[in-house]
Amino acid sequence: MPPLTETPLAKGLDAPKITAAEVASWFIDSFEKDELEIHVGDTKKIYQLFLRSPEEAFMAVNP
Amino acid sequence: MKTSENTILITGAASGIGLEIAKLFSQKNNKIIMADRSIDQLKIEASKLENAVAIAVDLTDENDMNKLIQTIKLNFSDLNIAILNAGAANDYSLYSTEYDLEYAKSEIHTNYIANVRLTHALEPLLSTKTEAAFVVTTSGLAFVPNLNYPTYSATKAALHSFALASRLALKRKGSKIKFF
Repeated sequence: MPPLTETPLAKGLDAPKITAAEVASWFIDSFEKDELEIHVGDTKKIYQLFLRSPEEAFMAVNP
Repeated sequence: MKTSENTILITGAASGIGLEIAKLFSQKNNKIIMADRSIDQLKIEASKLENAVAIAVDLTDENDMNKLIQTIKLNFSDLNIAILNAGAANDYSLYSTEYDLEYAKSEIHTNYIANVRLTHALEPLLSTKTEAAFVVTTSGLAFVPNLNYPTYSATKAALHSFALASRLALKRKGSKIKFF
């Protein structure tokens, strides 16, 4: 579950992005450890915020 | 999961996250089947990697999907990992002149339906392997939608829900396939 990533898909969004290479590397490390649900980078923050307050998480990705 | 000596299908492998995963797995002594609709770019990228082949596929095209599944069954029956990563994203505002139903149709086909189809088509093949995995690329937007990518967010929420359901369904079936 990557966050906003520097890829052709996200070219329309002007916001801080992780690189695709970082996402790939994070994925392979987690894959090796059998972590089935992988929260990459800022996805971890969004998920924690979502557990605490879905409304706050929604507003955080739509400032 | 082991990260070497696998045969790995990666969709959306011509660019972005799919391409970077292909590069890393190629360096770790795996056989890579790279699939994408951008065939020219895919061939260039595949030619730079060890043990990689390129297959052109438009995941919204039923004939292309059937061909991909047949090719894997006939030529790559040692497949044990399928990384279903291809995604389409349209940047538009809801309830504005930018709205177009075609965005919803193309995104739900590429990001959701194609993956449901591929996992079901490949599950019998993967179930024969000692170590096997499906991987789907979702997004942090599976938890909450981003208004710039409304349909994309919805498809990733659907795909995340499908991943949870698949994980439990495979477990209850006694399958060894891991679902990431």
